[in-house]
Amino acid sequence: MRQLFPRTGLLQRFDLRRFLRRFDPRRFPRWYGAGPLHLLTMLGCFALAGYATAELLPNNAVGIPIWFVGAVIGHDVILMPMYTVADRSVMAVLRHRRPQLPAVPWINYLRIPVALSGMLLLIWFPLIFRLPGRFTLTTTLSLDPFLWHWLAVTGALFLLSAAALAVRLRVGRGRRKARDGRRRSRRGRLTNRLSREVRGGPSEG
Amino acid sequence: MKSLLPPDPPPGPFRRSFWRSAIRGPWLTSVFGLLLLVSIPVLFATGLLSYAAYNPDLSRVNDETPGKGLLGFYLFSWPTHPVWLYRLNQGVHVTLGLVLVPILLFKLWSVLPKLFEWPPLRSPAHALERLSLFLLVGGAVFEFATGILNIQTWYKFPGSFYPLHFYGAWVFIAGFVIHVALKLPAMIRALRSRSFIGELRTNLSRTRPEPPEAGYLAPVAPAEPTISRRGVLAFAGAGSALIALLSVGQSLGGPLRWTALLAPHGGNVSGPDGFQVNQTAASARIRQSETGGAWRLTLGRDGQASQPPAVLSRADLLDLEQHTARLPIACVEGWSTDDQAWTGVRLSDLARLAGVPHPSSALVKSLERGGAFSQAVLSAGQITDPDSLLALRVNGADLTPDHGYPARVILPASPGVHNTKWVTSLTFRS
Repeated sequence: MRQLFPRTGLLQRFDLRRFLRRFDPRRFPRWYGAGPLHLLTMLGCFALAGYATAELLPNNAVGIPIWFVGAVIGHDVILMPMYTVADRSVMAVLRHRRPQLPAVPWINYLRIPVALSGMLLLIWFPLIFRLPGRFTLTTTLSLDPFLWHWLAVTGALFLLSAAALAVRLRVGRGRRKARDGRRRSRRGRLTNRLSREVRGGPSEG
Repeated sequence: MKSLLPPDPPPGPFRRSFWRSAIRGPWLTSVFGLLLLVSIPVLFATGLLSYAAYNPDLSRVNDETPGKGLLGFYLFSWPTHPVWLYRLNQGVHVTLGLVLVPILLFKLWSVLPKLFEWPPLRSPAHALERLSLFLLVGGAVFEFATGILNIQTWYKFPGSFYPLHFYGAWVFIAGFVIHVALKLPAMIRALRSRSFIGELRTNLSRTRPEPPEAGYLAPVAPAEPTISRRGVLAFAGAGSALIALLSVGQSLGGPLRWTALLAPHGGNVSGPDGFQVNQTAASARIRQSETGGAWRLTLGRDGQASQPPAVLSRADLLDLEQHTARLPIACVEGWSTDDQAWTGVRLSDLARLAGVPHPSSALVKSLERGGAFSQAVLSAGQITDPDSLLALRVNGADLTPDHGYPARVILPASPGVHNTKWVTSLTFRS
């Protein structure tokens, strides 16, 4: 017995009774970083996830982890930085090219149709690019219309956006004109009065 | 951990000042969070119901995920009424899933700074939380991707759709439950911090960032806003509405079907057999020689090998009492047909003919060789329902080969693939 379990330092030092006597549940949150209920929730849910993973993984022990990790990387490291950089670049380039951009938030009239069209592409790219090889054989339906449908919807989105921007600019210009007009006429009345006072005669507005 | 890493975050995304969007903040995240909190359980529940609709407990033949174990705890015998039950369930599951894509993308955009929190791990509790986020985000994207690819019949995911989508859903929901348990108080607090109606009245020029002390997501060095909060909500809402508009027609049918311009089964087909097909005779490799005059239906009686089975030709079947039922076909992929007028022999009459007046189940076999759904086991309720037929005709004309000529099963409220086509035998068990 003594040879099988030599009294190592570690075993000698570990005394269960002393451990239990000194264990203080109030100190647990400081060590763990949250309350025991937090730990119980975590353990329960990870047990469920583990149980499901044990059934999921045998289906393809290489492909499935790649898909899970790929899903996170594909979204957080590829898709999101890509659209953020695209959005910022467009704003920077257009501002640089045309310092006198309209006062309305014009970028939204560009980013919204692009994003909506992009979202449709993200969802339906297999149909749009005719990727499902057996689609027509199994369903009798043609894959040809999907590309045209997507292009037509994209075109309609840009037209709608352009129309909305035009209306917005016209309303904005109308408002500005009215405001400028009011200002001008006030200024006009003032100069008229001044010139009348200076020259003592009628003057043209 | 703390001693290994510098206490101050390195430059770049690890610093809060890197994230400059003026509208990012706990309130906006919580609005998207609330939408998902309401919809994800509906998505999960309709998914579980869809699995139950296959009656997987009845027979291994019906079960695409035989290893489910405890995860099949809720299963029950799927009802046959209302007849549109599966159509509604699957239409909601697929359309809601599609509509949530923009909401999910906006939600993930709004919380991206948290991915680069500093220090990356503060405590064991924090480490577990971050690991659970992997289940949540990985699971969400995995579930949406497998579902969206499957409805387009582009089977590029790593395995059979059913186990992947089923077990993946349980992994995802585990992460979801942790996330809700951790974040619900913060979500309620953030939603109360600003008036929703007030935000809907706030235009761009009056949009102010949330104060930095509102939470980690609020910007400490905000740029000039380019869109208002109500603008972002309208943006996401427009995305969802557009996706719904372009796809829901394939589930609603009727005059709206043509609006499903970007959905696999939109568009109208005309004629008495003018409704959508899941699998053609050609793709199931059904030979014309098998469905012609030589075709016979074998009515068997399980466990009674001594008794010779009844064998009927199509003419024999047409001589039996004919019934008509108006039933839809609803596919697991979310599309469905309007009600069609199916005419044929009641399954309960065939059970009597086979000598099993009170069947407990029936095994239906198709001429199709191989294929996951070349056979199905029907429940007692499905066999005895007066609307359950072995259909020979549809909408007043003989079935076409693609719709299952010479005979097909049609059941109320069942998944489309259980309406077995090109039936060759029915074996009843008492």
